[in-house]
Amino acid sequence: MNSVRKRRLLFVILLSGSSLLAVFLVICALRQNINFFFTPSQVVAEGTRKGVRIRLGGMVEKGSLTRKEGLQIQFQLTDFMHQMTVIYSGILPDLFREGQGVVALGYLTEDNVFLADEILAKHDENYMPPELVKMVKSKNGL
Amino acid sequence: MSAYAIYVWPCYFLVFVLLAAHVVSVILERRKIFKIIFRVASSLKPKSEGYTPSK
Amino acid sequence: MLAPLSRIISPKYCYQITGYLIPWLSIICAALMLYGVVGGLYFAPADYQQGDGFRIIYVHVPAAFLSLMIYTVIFVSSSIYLIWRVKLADIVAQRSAALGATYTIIALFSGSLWGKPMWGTWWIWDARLTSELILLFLYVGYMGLRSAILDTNRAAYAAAILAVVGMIDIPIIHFSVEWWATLHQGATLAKLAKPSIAEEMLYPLLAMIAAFTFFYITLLCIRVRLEILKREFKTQWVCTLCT
Repeated sequence: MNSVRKRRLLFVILLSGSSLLAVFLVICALRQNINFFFTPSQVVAEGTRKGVRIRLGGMVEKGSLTRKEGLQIQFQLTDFMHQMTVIYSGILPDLFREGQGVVALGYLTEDNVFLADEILAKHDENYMPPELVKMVKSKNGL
Repeated sequence: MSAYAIYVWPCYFLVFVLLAAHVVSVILERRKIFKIIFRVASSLKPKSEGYTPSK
Repeated sequence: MLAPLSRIISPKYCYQITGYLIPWLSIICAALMLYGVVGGLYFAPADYQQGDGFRIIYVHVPAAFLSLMIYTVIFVSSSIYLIWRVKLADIVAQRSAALGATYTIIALFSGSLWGKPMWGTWWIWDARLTSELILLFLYVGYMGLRSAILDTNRAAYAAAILAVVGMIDIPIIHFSVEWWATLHQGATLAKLAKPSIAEEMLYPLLAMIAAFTFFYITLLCIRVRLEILKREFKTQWVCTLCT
Protein backbone atom coordinates (compact mmCIF):
# COMPACT_ATOMS: atom_id res chain seq x y z
CA MET A 1 0.00 0.00 0.00
CA ASN A 2 1.48 3.31 -0.95
CA SER A 3 2.02 6.12 1.50
CA VAL A 4 -1.05 8.15 0.52
CA ARG A 5 -3.34 5.22 1.24
CA LYS A 6 -1.43 4.39 4.39
CA ARG A 7 -2.04 7.93 5.57
CA ARG A 8 -5.74 7.67 4.80
CA LEU A 9 -5.95 4.32 6.59
CA LEU A 10 -4.32 5.91 9.61
CA PHE A 11 -6.87 8.73 9.41
CA VAL A 12 -9.79 6.28 9.45
CA ILE A 13 -8.26 4.37 12.35
CA LEU A 14 -7.68 7.55 14.32
CA LEU A 15 -11.20 8.72 13.60
CA SER A 16 -12.79 5.49 14.81
CA GLY A 17 -10.41 5.36 17.74
CA SER A 18 -11.18 8.87 18.92
CA SER A 19 -14.94 8.37 18.64
CA LEU A 20 -14.53 5.11 20.58
CA LEU A 21 -12.52 6.92 23.25
CA ALA A 22 -15.01 9.78 23.49
CA VAL A 23 -17.97 7.45 23.86
CA PHE A 24 -16.06 5.28 26.33
CA LEU A 25 -15.36 8.28 28.54
CA VAL A 26 -18.99 9.42 28.39
CA ILE A 27 -20.16 5.95 29.34
CA CYS A 28 -17.73 5.75 32.24
CA ALA A 29 -18.99 9.07 33.53
CA LEU A 30 -22.62 8.04 33.24
CA ARG A 31 -22.08 4.44 34.28
CA GLN A 32 -24.54 4.17 37.09
CA ASN A 33 -27.18 6.19 35.27
CA ILE A 34 -27.14 3.92 32.23
CA ASN A 35 -28.35 1.01 34.28
CA PHE A 36 -32.07 1.02 34.01
CA PHE A 37 -32.56 -0.33 37.49
CA PHE A 38 -30.81 -1.26 40.75
CA THR A 39 -30.94 -4.79 42.10
CA PRO A 40 -31.78 -5.33 45.78
CA SER A 41 -28.15 -6.28 46.44
CA GLN A 42 -26.96 -2.98 44.97
CA VAL A 43 -29.43 -1.05 47.10
CA VAL A 44 -28.22 -2.86 50.21
CA ALA A 45 -24.55 -2.43 49.29
CA GLU A 46 -24.70 1.23 48.35
CA GLY A 47 -27.10 2.21 51.10
CA THR A 48 -29.47 4.21 48.91
CA ARG A 49 -31.03 7.10 50.75
CA LYS A 50 -34.63 6.83 51.76
CA GLY A 51 -37.06 8.89 49.80
CA VAL A 52 -34.97 9.01 46.60
CA ARG A 53 -36.84 7.82 43.52
CA ILE A 54 -35.10 4.82 41.98
CA ARG A 55 -35.95 1.81 39.91
CA LEU A 56 -35.67 -1.56 41.56
CA GLY A 57 -35.39 -4.68 39.40
CA GLY A 58 -35.49 -8.37 40.21
CA MET A 59 -37.66 -11.44 40.35
CA VAL A 60 -40.98 -11.76 42.14
CA GLU A 61 -40.36 -14.46 44.71
CA LYS A 62 -42.69 -17.42 44.43
CA GLY A 63 -45.30 -17.56 47.10
CA SER A 64 -44.66 -14.03 48.31
CA LEU A 65 -47.50 -12.27 46.49
CA THR A 66 -50.29 -11.14 48.81
CA ARG A 67 -53.23 -8.92 47.93
CA LYS A 68 -54.31 -6.28 50.37
CA GLU A 69 -57.38 -4.03 50.36
CA GLY A 70 -58.41 -2.57 47.03
CA LEU A 71 -55.74 -2.76 44.31
CA GLN A 72 -52.85 -2.92 46.74
CA ILE A 73 -50.43 -5.83 46.56
CA GLN A 74 -47.28 -6.78 48.40
CA PHE A 75 -44.50 -9.11 47.28
CA GLN A 76 -40.86 -9.94 47.81
CA LEU A 77 -38.45 -8.80 45.11
CA THR A 78 -35.31 -10.92 44.99
CA ASP A 79 -32.10 -11.20 43.02
CA PHE A 80 -31.35 -14.51 44.72
CA MET A 81 -28.90 -12.82 47.07
CA HIS A 82 -30.99 -10.19 48.78
CA GLN A 83 -34.66 -9.50 48.85
CA MET A 84 -36.86 -6.52 49.42
CA THR A 85 -40.49 -5.99 50.27
CA VAL A 86 -42.39 -4.05 47.63
CA ILE A 87 -45.82 -2.51 48.11
CA TYR A 88 -47.73 -1.33 45.06
CA SER A 89 -51.18 -0.06 44.40
CA GLY A 90 -52.47 0.12 40.85
CA ILE A 91 -52.85 -1.74 37.59
CA LEU A 92 -50.35 -4.48 36.88
CA PRO A 93 -48.97 -5.41 33.45
CA ASP A 94 -50.45 -8.62 32.05
CA LEU A 95 -47.18 -10.52 32.26
CA PHE A 96 -46.81 -9.86 35.99
CA ARG A 97 -46.68 -13.12 37.95
CA GLU A 98 -44.70 -14.88 40.62
CA GLY A 99 -41.36 -16.13 39.32
CA GLN A 100 -41.30 -13.37 36.69
CA GLY A 101 -38.89 -10.47 36.38
CA VAL A 102 -40.15 -6.97 37.20
CA VAL A 103 -38.86 -3.42 37.41
CA ALA A 104 -40.49 -1.25 40.07
CA LEU A 105 -40.27 2.54 40.08
CA GLY A 106 -40.61 4.19 43.45
CA TYR A 107 -38.71 4.94 46.62
CA LEU A 108 -37.47 3.30 49.76
CA THR A 109 -39.38 4.16 52.94
CA GLU A 110 -38.04 4.47 56.48
CA ASP A 111 -38.76 0.87 57.44
CA ASN A 112 -36.88 -0.51 54.40
CA VAL A 113 -40.01 -1.18 52.43
CA PHE A 114 -40.06 -0.15 48.76
CA LEU A 115 -43.13 1.84 47.84
CA ALA A 116 -43.67 1.52 44.10
CA ASP A 117 -45.89 3.69 41.96
CA GLU A 118 -45.12 1.96 38.66
CA ILE A 119 -44.44 -1.69 37.84
CA LEU A 120 -43.04 -2.93 34.53
CA ALA A 121 -42.78 -6.60 33.63
CA LYS A 122 -39.45 -7.82 32.34
CA HIS A 123 -39.61 -10.57 29.79
CA ASP A 124 -36.87 -13.14 29.34
CA GLU A 125 -35.55 -14.22 25.95
CA ASN A 126 -37.33 -17.59 25.83
CA TYR A 127 -40.18 -18.31 23.48
CA MET A 128 -41.97 -21.63 23.68
CA PRO A 129 -45.32 -23.16 22.78
CA PRO A 130 -47.40 -24.34 25.78
CA GLU A 131 -46.80 -28.05 25.15
CA LEU A 132 -43.05 -27.53 25.34
CA VAL A 133 -43.44 -25.69 28.63
CA LYS A 134 -45.31 -28.66 30.11
CA MET A 135 -42.58 -31.00 28.87
CA VAL A 136 -39.83 -28.86 30.35
CA LYS A 137 -41.67 -28.53 33.65
CA SER A 138 -42.31 -32.29 33.94
CA LYS A 139 -38.67 -32.99 33.12
CA ASN A 140 -37.56 -30.73 35.96
CA GLY A 141 -40.01 -32.48 38.24
CA LEU A 142 -41.98 -29.30 38.99
CA MET B 1 -54.18 -14.14 25.24
CA SER B 2 -55.54 -13.02 21.90
CA ALA B 3 -55.79 -9.49 23.23
CA TYR B 4 -52.10 -9.11 22.39
CA ALA B 5 -52.78 -10.06 18.79
CA ILE B 6 -54.20 -6.65 18.07
CA TYR B 7 -50.71 -5.22 18.24
CA VAL B 8 -49.37 -7.64 15.64
CA TRP B 9 -51.29 -6.44 12.60
CA PRO B 10 -50.11 -2.79 12.60
CA CYS B 11 -46.51 -4.02 12.58
CA TYR B 12 -46.95 -6.26 9.56
CA PHE B 13 -48.96 -3.54 7.86
CA LEU B 14 -46.22 -0.98 8.44
CA VAL B 15 -43.60 -3.33 7.04
CA PHE B 16 -45.68 -3.98 3.97
CA VAL B 17 -46.34 -0.28 3.37
CA LEU B 18 -42.73 0.81 3.84
CA LEU B 19 -41.18 -1.96 1.74
CA ALA B 20 -43.76 -1.36 -0.99
CA ALA B 21 -42.89 2.34 -0.86
CA HIS B 22 -39.28 1.46 -1.49
CA VAL B 23 -40.17 -0.70 -4.48
CA VAL B 24 -42.38 2.06 -5.91
CA SER B 25 -39.68 4.70 -5.44
CA VAL B 26 -37.17 2.50 -7.23
CA ILE B 27 -39.53 2.01 -10.17
CA LEU B 28 -40.23 5.74 -10.42
CA GLU B 29 -36.55 6.62 -10.24
CA ARG B 30 -35.72 4.07 -12.91
CA ARG B 31 -38.28 5.59 -15.23
CA LYS B 32 -36.94 9.08 -14.63
CA ILE B 33 -33.32 8.12 -15.27
CA PHE B 34 -34.02 6.19 -18.43
CA LYS B 35 -36.01 9.12 -19.77
CA ILE B 36 -33.00 11.38 -19.21
CA ILE B 37 -30.59 8.91 -20.75
CA PHE B 38 -32.80 8.45 -23.80
CA ARG B 39 -32.86 12.19 -24.31
CA VAL B 40 -29.10 12.45 -23.97
CA ALA B 41 -28.48 9.44 -26.21
CA SER B 42 -30.81 10.66 -28.97
CA SER B 43 -29.30 14.15 -28.88
CA LEU B 44 -25.82 12.69 -29.30
CA LYS B 45 -26.82 10.39 -32.14
CA PRO B 46 -26.64 12.83 -35.10
CA LYS B 47 -23.12 13.75 -34.02
CA SER B 48 -21.92 10.11 -33.95
CA GLU B 49 -23.53 9.34 -37.28
CA GLY B 50 -21.42 11.97 -38.98
CA TYR B 51 -18.30 10.78 -37.22
CA THR B 52 -15.73 9.05 -39.37
CA PRO B 53 -13.28 6.97 -37.31
CA SER B 54 -9.67 7.49 -38.19
CA LYS B 55 -8.06 4.22 -39.23
CA MET C 1 -2.08 -8.27 -9.62
CA LEU C 2 -4.73 -5.77 -8.70
CA ALA C 3 -5.90 -5.39 -12.31
CA PRO C 4 -8.77 -7.91 -12.07
CA LEU C 5 -9.89 -6.18 -8.86
CA SER C 6 -10.02 -2.80 -10.54
CA ARG C 7 -12.09 -4.35 -13.32
CA ILE C 8 -14.59 -5.72 -10.81
CA ILE C 9 -15.17 -2.38 -9.16
CA SER C 10 -15.57 -0.53 -12.43
CA PRO C 11 -19.07 0.89 -12.87
CA LYS C 12 -19.68 -0.86 -16.19
CA TYR C 13 -18.80 -4.32 -14.89
CA CYS C 14 -20.81 -3.80 -11.72
CA TYR C 15 -23.78 -2.75 -13.83
CA GLN C 16 -23.60 -5.95 -15.86
CA ILE C 17 -23.15 -8.26 -12.89
CA THR C 18 -25.98 -6.74 -10.87
CA GLY C 19 -28.23 -6.89 -13.92
CA TYR C 20 -27.70 -10.62 -14.02
CA LEU C 21 -28.20 -11.09 -10.29
CA ILE C 22 -31.35 -9.08 -9.70
CA PRO C 23 -33.96 -11.55 -11.03
CA TRP C 24 -32.53 -14.38 -8.93
CA LEU C 25 -32.22 -12.25 -5.81
CA SER C 26 -35.82 -11.08 -6.07
CA ILE C 27 -37.14 -14.63 -6.48
CA ILE C 28 -35.20 -15.79 -3.41
CA CYS C 29 -36.40 -12.77 -1.46
CA ALA C 30 -40.05 -13.32 -2.39
CA ALA C 31 -39.89 -17.03 -1.49
CA LEU C 32 -38.27 -16.36 1.88
CA MET C 33 -40.71 -13.55 2.63
CA LEU C 34 -43.68 -15.78 1.80
CA TYR C 35 -42.46 -18.62 4.01
CA GLY C 36 -41.51 -16.25 6.82
CA VAL C 37 -44.83 -14.41 6.90
CA VAL C 38 -47.05 -17.46 6.51
CA GLY C 39 -44.91 -19.51 8.89
CA GLY C 40 -44.75 -16.72 11.44
CA LEU C 41 -48.42 -15.84 11.40
CA TYR C 42 -49.92 -19.25 10.88
CA PHE C 43 -47.69 -22.28 11.35
CA ALA C 44 -45.67 -21.22 14.37
CA PRO C 45 -47.43 -22.10 17.62
CA ALA C 46 -48.47 -19.37 20.04
CA ASP C 47 -46.14 -18.53 22.92
CA TYR C 48 -47.00 -19.94 26.34
CA GLN C 49 -46.82 -16.50 27.94
CA GLN C 50 -47.74 -13.93 25.32
CA GLY C 51 -50.03 -15.89 23.06
CA ASP C 52 -50.20 -14.49 19.58
CA GLY C 53 -48.61 -11.20 20.56
CA PHE C 54 -45.11 -12.60 20.29
CA ARG C 55 -45.54 -12.84 16.49
CA ILE C 56 -44.26 -9.29 16.33
CA ILE C 57 -40.87 -10.96 16.69
CA TYR C 58 -41.03 -11.96 13.01
CA VAL C 59 -40.97 -8.28 12.08
CA HIS C 60 -39.09 -6.71 14.98
CA VAL C 61 -36.00 -8.92 15.16
CA PRO C 62 -35.26 -9.02 11.39
CA ALA C 63 -35.69 -5.24 11.15
CA ALA C 64 -33.43 -4.60 14.14
CA PHE C 65 -30.80 -7.04 12.92
CA LEU C 66 -30.79 -5.50 9.45
CA SER C 67 -30.63 -1.96 10.86
CA LEU C 68 -27.32 -2.90 12.46
CA MET C 69 -26.02 -4.89 9.53
CA ILE C 70 -26.75 -2.18 6.96
CA TYR C 71 -25.00 0.45 9.05
CA THR C 72 -21.99 -1.86 9.25
CA VAL C 73 -22.06 -2.12 5.45
CA ILE C 74 -22.17 1.68 5.25
CA PHE C 75 -19.23 1.86 7.67
CA VAL C 76 -17.12 -0.60 5.68
CA SER C 77 -17.96 1.04 2.35
CA SER C 78 -17.23 4.49 3.75
CA SER C 79 -13.88 3.32 5.07
CA ILE C 80 -13.01 1.81 1.69
CA TYR C 81 -14.01 5.08 0.08
CA LEU C 82 -11.95 7.13 2.51
CA ILE C 83 -8.85 4.95 2.09
CA TRP C 84 -8.93 3.87 -1.55
CA ARG C 85 -11.31 6.44 -3.04
CA VAL C 86 -13.34 3.71 -4.76
CA LYS C 87 -16.41 5.40 -6.22
CA LEU C 88 -18.45 2.23 -6.10
CA ALA C 89 -17.94 2.02 -2.34
CA ASP C 90 -19.40 5.49 -1.95
CA ILE C 91 -22.37 4.55 -4.15
CA VAL C 92 -23.05 1.46 -2.03
CA ALA C 93 -22.92 3.50 1.17
CA GLN C 94 -25.13 6.24 -0.24
CA ARG C 95 -27.80 3.90 -1.55
CA SER C 96 -27.94 1.72 1.58
CA ALA C 97 -28.93 4.46 3.98
CA ALA C 98 -32.61 4.83 3.08
CA LEU C 99 -33.46 1.17 3.63
CA GLY C 100 -31.32 1.10 6.77
CA ALA C 101 -33.31 4.00 8.19
CA THR C 102 -36.55 2.27 7.21
CA TYR C 103 -35.59 -0.90 9.03
CA THR C 104 -34.64 1.13 12.09
CA ILE C 105 -38.06 2.79 12.07
CA ILE C 106 -39.74 -0.60 11.74
CA ALA C 107 -37.68 -1.96 14.64
CA LEU C 108 -38.52 0.98 16.90
CA PHE C 109 -42.22 1.04 15.97
CA SER C 110 -42.77 -2.72 16.26
CA GLY C 111 -40.75 -2.77 19.46
CA SER C 112 -42.94 -0.06 20.93
CA LEU C 113 -46.13 -1.89 19.96
CA TRP C 114 -44.66 -5.02 21.52
CA GLY C 115 -43.49 -3.28 24.66
CA LYS C 116 -46.90 -2.00 25.66
CA PRO C 117 -48.52 -5.41 26.19
CA MET C 118 -45.30 -7.13 27.24
CA TRP C 119 -43.66 -4.65 29.62
CA GLY C 120 -46.49 -2.23 30.23
CA THR C 121 -45.03 0.82 28.50
CA TRP C 122 -44.66 2.17 24.95
CA TRP C 123 -41.14 3.45 25.53
CA ILE C 124 -38.38 3.68 28.12
CA TRP C 125 -34.95 5.24 28.06
CA ASP C 126 -32.90 2.12 28.69
CA ALA C 127 -29.60 1.50 26.93
CA ARG C 128 -30.91 -0.69 24.12
CA LEU C 129 -33.82 1.49 23.04
CA THR C 130 -31.92 4.75 23.41
CA SER C 131 -28.97 3.57 21.34
CA GLU C 132 -31.28 2.26 18.60
CA LEU C 133 -32.98 5.66 18.48
CA ILE C 134 -29.53 7.27 18.16
CA LEU C 135 -28.93 4.93 15.21
CA LEU C 136 -32.02 6.38 13.54
CA PHE C 137 -30.60 9.87 14.04
CA LEU C 138 -27.33 8.69 12.52
CA TYR C 139 -29.09 7.39 9.42
CA VAL C 140 -31.17 10.53 9.01
CA GLY C 141 -28.10 12.68 9.63
CA TYR C 142 -26.17 10.71 7.04
CA MET C 143 -28.86 11.17 4.39
CA GLY C 144 -29.36 14.82 5.33
CA LEU C 145 -25.65 15.54 5.15
CA ARG C 146 -25.39 14.03 1.70
CA SER C 147 -28.28 16.05 0.31
CA ALA C 148 -27.16 19.26 2.02
CA ILE C 149 -23.76 19.36 0.31
CA LEU C 150 -24.10 19.94 -3.41
CA ASP C 151 -20.71 18.76 -4.62
CA THR C 152 -20.82 14.96 -4.92
CA ASN C 153 -17.25 14.36 -3.81
CA ARG C 154 -17.41 16.65 -0.81
CA ALA C 155 -20.76 15.20 0.22
CA ALA C 156 -19.31 11.71 -0.07
CA TYR C 157 -16.34 12.64 2.07
CA ALA C 158 -18.35 14.34 4.81
CA ALA C 159 -20.89 11.51 4.93
CA ALA C 160 -18.13 8.91 5.09
CA ILE C 161 -16.64 10.69 8.11
CA LEU C 162 -20.02 10.66 9.83
CA ALA C 163 -20.46 6.96 9.08
CA VAL C 164 -17.07 6.09 10.57
CA VAL C 165 -17.62 8.18 13.71
CA GLY C 166 -21.11 6.79 14.25
CA MET C 167 -20.02 3.16 13.97
CA ILE C 168 -19.36 3.04 17.70
CA ASP C 169 -23.14 2.94 18.24
CA ILE C 170 -23.42 -0.52 16.70
CA PRO C 171 -21.53 -2.51 19.36
CA ILE C 172 -23.25 -0.39 21.99
CA ILE C 173 -26.66 -1.43 20.68
CA HIS C 174 -25.65 -5.06 20.40
CA PHE C 175 -23.99 -5.44 23.78
CA SER C 176 -26.20 -3.02 25.72
CA VAL C 177 -28.30 -5.86 27.13
CA GLU C 178 -25.15 -7.60 28.38
CA TRP C 179 -23.19 -4.66 29.73
CA TRP C 180 -25.96 -2.88 31.58
CA ALA C 181 -29.21 -3.59 33.34
CA THR C 182 -31.92 -2.99 30.76
CA LEU C 183 -35.63 -3.57 30.48
CA HIS C 184 -35.05 -5.07 27.03
CA GLN C 185 -34.27 -8.75 27.30
CA GLY C 186 -31.08 -10.46 26.23
CA ALA C 187 -30.40 -12.05 22.85
CA THR C 188 -32.58 -14.98 21.83
CA LEU C 189 -30.31 -15.83 18.94
CA ALA C 190 -26.78 -15.89 20.32
CA LYS C 191 -24.04 -16.85 17.92
CA LEU C 192 -22.94 -20.25 19.18
CA ALA C 193 -25.33 -21.19 21.94
CA LYS C 194 -28.53 -23.08 21.32
CA PRO C 195 -31.30 -20.59 20.58
CA SER C 196 -33.73 -20.08 23.43
CA ILE C 197 -36.71 -20.35 21.11
CA ALA C 198 -38.65 -23.43 20.02
CA GLU C 199 -37.78 -24.84 16.60
CA GLU C 200 -41.16 -24.35 14.95
CA MET C 201 -40.93 -20.73 15.99
CA LEU C 202 -37.30 -20.38 14.95
CA TYR C 203 -37.42 -21.29 11.27
CA PRO C 204 -39.86 -18.60 10.13
CA LEU C 205 -37.77 -16.12 12.12
CA LEU C 206 -34.57 -17.10 10.32
CA ALA C 207 -36.47 -16.96 7.03
CA MET C 208 -37.69 -13.43 7.76
CA ILE C 209 -34.19 -12.28 8.65
CA ALA C 210 -32.93 -13.75 5.37
CA ALA C 211 -35.90 -12.26 3.47
CA PHE C 212 -35.21 -8.76 4.80
CA THR C 213 -31.54 -9.24 3.92
CA PHE C 214 -32.29 -10.31 0.37
CA PHE C 215 -34.74 -7.44 0.00
CA TYR C 216 -31.93 -5.10 0.98
CA ILE C 217 -29.43 -6.72 -1.39
CA THR C 218 -31.89 -6.73 -4.29
CA LEU C 219 -32.88 -3.11 -3.81
CA LEU C 220 -29.25 -2.17 -3.32
CA CYS C 221 -28.31 -3.76 -6.64
CA ILE C 222 -31.10 -1.92 -8.43
CA ARG C 223 -30.28 1.38 -6.78
CA VAL C 224 -26.53 1.05 -7.34
CA ARG C 225 -27.23 0.47 -11.03
CA LEU C 226 -29.40 3.58 -11.16
CA GLU C 227 -26.73 5.62 -9.41
CA ILE C 228 -24.10 4.34 -11.82
CA LEU C 229 -26.30 5.39 -14.73
CA LYS C 230 -26.84 8.77 -13.11
CA ARG C 231 -23.14 9.40 -12.60
CA GLU C 232 -21.93 7.94 -15.90
CA PHE C 233 -24.72 8.99 -18.25
CA LYS C 234 -22.38 10.89 -20.52
CA THR C 235 -20.20 7.89 -21.30
CA GLN C 236 -20.36 5.77 -24.42
CA TRP C 237 -21.48 2.49 -22.88
CA VAL C 238 -24.48 4.09 -21.18
CA CYS C 239 -25.63 5.69 -24.42
CA THR C 240 -25.38 2.39 -26.27
CA LEU C 241 -27.67 0.84 -23.63
CA CYS C 242 -30.63 2.78 -24.91
CA THR C 243 -30.09 2.50 -28.63
